[in-house]
Parts: sequence; C-alpha cells; structure tokens
Amino acid sequence: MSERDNGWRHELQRRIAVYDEIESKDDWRGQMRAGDYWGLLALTVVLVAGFWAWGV
Amino acid sequence: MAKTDTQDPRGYRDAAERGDLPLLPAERLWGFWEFTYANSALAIATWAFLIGGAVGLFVGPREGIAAIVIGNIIGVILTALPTCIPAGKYGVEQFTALRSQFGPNGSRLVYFLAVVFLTMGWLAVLGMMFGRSIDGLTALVSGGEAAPLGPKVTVAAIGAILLTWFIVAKGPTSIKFFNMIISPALVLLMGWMMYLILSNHSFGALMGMKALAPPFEDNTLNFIIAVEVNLAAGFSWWPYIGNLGRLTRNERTAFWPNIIGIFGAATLGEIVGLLGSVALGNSDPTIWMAQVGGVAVGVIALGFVAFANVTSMANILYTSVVGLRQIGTSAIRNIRWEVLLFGFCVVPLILVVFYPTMYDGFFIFLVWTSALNSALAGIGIADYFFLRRQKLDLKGLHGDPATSPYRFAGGFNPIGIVALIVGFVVYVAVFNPQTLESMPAFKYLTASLPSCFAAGLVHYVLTRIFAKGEGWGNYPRG
Repeated sequence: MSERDNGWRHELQRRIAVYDEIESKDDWRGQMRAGDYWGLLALTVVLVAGFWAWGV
Repeated sequence: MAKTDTQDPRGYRDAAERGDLPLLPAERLWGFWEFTYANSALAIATWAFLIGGAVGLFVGPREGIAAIVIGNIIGVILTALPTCIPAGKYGVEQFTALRSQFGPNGSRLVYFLAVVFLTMGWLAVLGMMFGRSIDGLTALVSGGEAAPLGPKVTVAAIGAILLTWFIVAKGPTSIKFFNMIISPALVLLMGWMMYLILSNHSFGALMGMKALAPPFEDNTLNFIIAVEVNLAAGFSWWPYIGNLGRLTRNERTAFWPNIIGIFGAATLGEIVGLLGSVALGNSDPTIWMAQVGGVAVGVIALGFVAFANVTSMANILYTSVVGLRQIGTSAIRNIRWEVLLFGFCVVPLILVVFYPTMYDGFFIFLVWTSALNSALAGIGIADYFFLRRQKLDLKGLHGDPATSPYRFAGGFNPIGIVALIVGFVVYVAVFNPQTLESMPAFKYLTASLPSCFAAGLVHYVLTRIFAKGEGWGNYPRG
C-alpha cells in the first residue's frame, strides 16, 4: 500500500472518528426533531387544503 | 474511491468538498440564509416560465396557482427528506450515500438514469428556448414573423449548447460570475413581467380566465394533470439538492431553506409563467414575452431570457459532469474534462436538430422523469428513516467496495432495483405521460404519490424479509 493510500485511509478514519464521537455523545446539533416534522406536516396540510379550497 | 493527490489538510478538505470524503461539521459553511440564497438561485431559472406556461394549457390561472403550490410543496418536501437530511447530518456526497440503498454499482446505474437523462433533456429544451428567444427577438426587430421550427432556431440552439460547453470547459469561476448577475436579474424580470401583466388585466379578470388547451372535458382531471406536472417539477430536484445540502451545517439548515428557496422561488417563477401564458394566449414564454410590453420590452426580455438559459444550462451541465466523475470508473475520470463535457452535449445536439418539437411538449419529458424520481424518493425515505433509523456507516460508504457492508450482490442491491422498477411501473400504469391516459384512481391520488409509496413499501418489505446476510446493507435488527 502506497504512502498516499495510507494518508488517505488515515484521513478517512479521522473524519469517521469525529462522527463516531458525535454519535456516542448524541451531540447532533441542529437535528430535526419531532417538532420539525409536525411543523412540516402542518405546513403541507395547510397549503394543500387551503389552495385546494381556494382554487378548485 | 477517488483519491486526492495531496496529503496536506487543505488538499483533503478540497477532496471532501468534491465529495470524495465526508465533510466535517466545522468545514460546512452554509447557514440558513446562505443555503436559501443558493437554492433560490438554482430554482429561479427560465424553466420556471416554461412549467408555468405548461400549467396554463390544462387549467386557468386560479386552478393553476393552486396546482403549482400543491404540487411543488409535496414534491419538494418528499424530495428533500431523503436527500438533504442525511446530507446535512453526515456531509456525505448524495450518490455516495445512495450506495446504502442500491450498492456502489446500483448507485452508478441510478446516476445514469436520473441525472444523465434529465440533464441531457433539459440541455436540449433550454437550448431550443434560447433559439426561440433569438428568433423572436430578431422577428421583433425586423418586424417579421417568428418561425419556432425554422432553421434559425436550430442554429441558435446548437450555438447555445456549444457556448455552454465552452463556458463550463473554462471552469466554475465563469459560471459563478454568470450566476451572480443572472439570478437577481431574473427576479427583477419576473417582477417586471408581473407588473406588465397586472397593468393590462385586473387580478379578478386574470383569475377568471380559461385554460389555453385543456385536453379533457373533465376539469378535475385537467387539474390533477396540472398538479402532476408540478409534482414532477418538485421531484425533479432529487438529483441536485442533496449535494447542496451537504454544504450546510446541520439537518435543519439542510432541510428548511428548501421551503423558501426551491419551493418559494420556483412557485413565484411558475406563477409568472402561468399568468403570462394565459393572459397573452400562448404557453411559450418566448412568444408571450414578445407581446407583453411592445418591441423594446420584448427585445430586452427575450435577449435576457436567451442568456439566462445559457446560465441554467451551464449550472446543470457542470453539476452533472462533476457528479459523473465522482461516481464514474477510473476510465471515465481519465477522460479530459473538455472531452467529457462535449460527450455530454452530443445527445442534446441531436435532439435540437432531429426532435425540435420536444420543446412544445417538454412537460411530457418532465413528467416521465417523475416516474423515476418519485420512486427514488420513496425508496430513500423507507431506507433512511424506517429501515436504518437515520444511521449510516461512513466507513462502509467510503471504504473498499469489496468488503463494504453495502456491497450487496455484485455491487447492486436487487431489492432497491426491484423497488425502483415497481415504482416506475405503478406510475406508468396509473398515468401514461405520453398519452395522458390514466386510471380512475389518478384523479384522487395523482401518479407520483402512488409510485413513491409503492416503491418505498416494496423496498421496506423485501429488505425486512431478505436483506439478512453479511454485505446486505447491515440493516439494524430488532
């Protein structure tokens, strides 16, 4: 295995370790939570129902 | 795996930006508003005028605005969920992440089906729009008649594709320069067109206008076809937005800006296209723009739209060929950049010469792409949210494909491929984009939504039953 391959593998490992640490601490900042999904559903329902009632 | 030639940290970061490695949270610079601007710049393009004009063929402005909002909000949300949320969490390139659903070779196959065909089709359509804009502009100046299928349009369309090839061959800096000018100017043009239309017609009168060429007597069926065209427009972002989302800081900033940027901007542009087409009696924006405000306004608008098309073409050509090098074999990566770009332009050149009527029925091409994109969205939602519970194995995605848990069978996940075929077949069975024939259920369900649901359900059930051995996706159990 060449030096370049080793360096590449090491860098990939380093990056994966960063995500493993976030995962182990459950430290996902800005994660979509239940409130986001409920808000999304509400927005969709309001727009679809509202424009259906207005346009059709 | 595409490796960088350098070992310095900046080199690795560049490689991560290109998609060879996952981007770390600290390396991702886009916040909410940066991504919103980038999204808006992508969505505010000349195709919005075309899609709005196509909607005007089926329904009047009131129903058309409703169809634009309903179709786009559903399409954009179902597309952003499986693409932007994993990208915002892990910073992984979209087609690298797709290995978890289709395997490394399956991901390549999906790239060819979803990105290559879509991009080539749009290059041809936008090239023809450039040609028709130039033809309309010269007709306005000379006082003659425009000839949408004449040789001048063909020559100008060929010129547009070659000009796009030249710009993209020069690299991303020239594209960025055009984007910075064209996107804000297109917003101004849309506002100006809206002002001119509303100067000549009251809002009430506009809302009372009829469709240009409704294909059926059943108004509900015409309305659902208009919704379907907009669902297709929403789903058509599937190949592009994941790789923008990975440049954002987290899941929320990868997801919510799509609602303002993609949904909001595309909706605005389509509504202008719809009102212009119905008010002036022609679905082709290169025709109605020539009529909306006299010769001077027509010349400026058409000239601007012509070159805005080249910017849109440059954006999609650049993104697609970068992606092609990313997922391609070493043989593809070894092809010179200019040659690979030109190879991408051959099919669009053939289309503008031998199939110029594609422009007038471009929405048929758009709706065909939804048969694939809606199924891909369904599979992505089932796989990432329900089967994997939002967890990906980064080493498996970027490591040696021969030992990866995502290797499946020969690099293809047959379950994902079967689900994709089922979604496609369901779509065409419910609604045939070529003939506009549909099953009775189409009026209540559309075609994209059953396709999305069927593909996701098949992927979920077959994975639960069959994907158990080593190398079969490493799905969590229990």
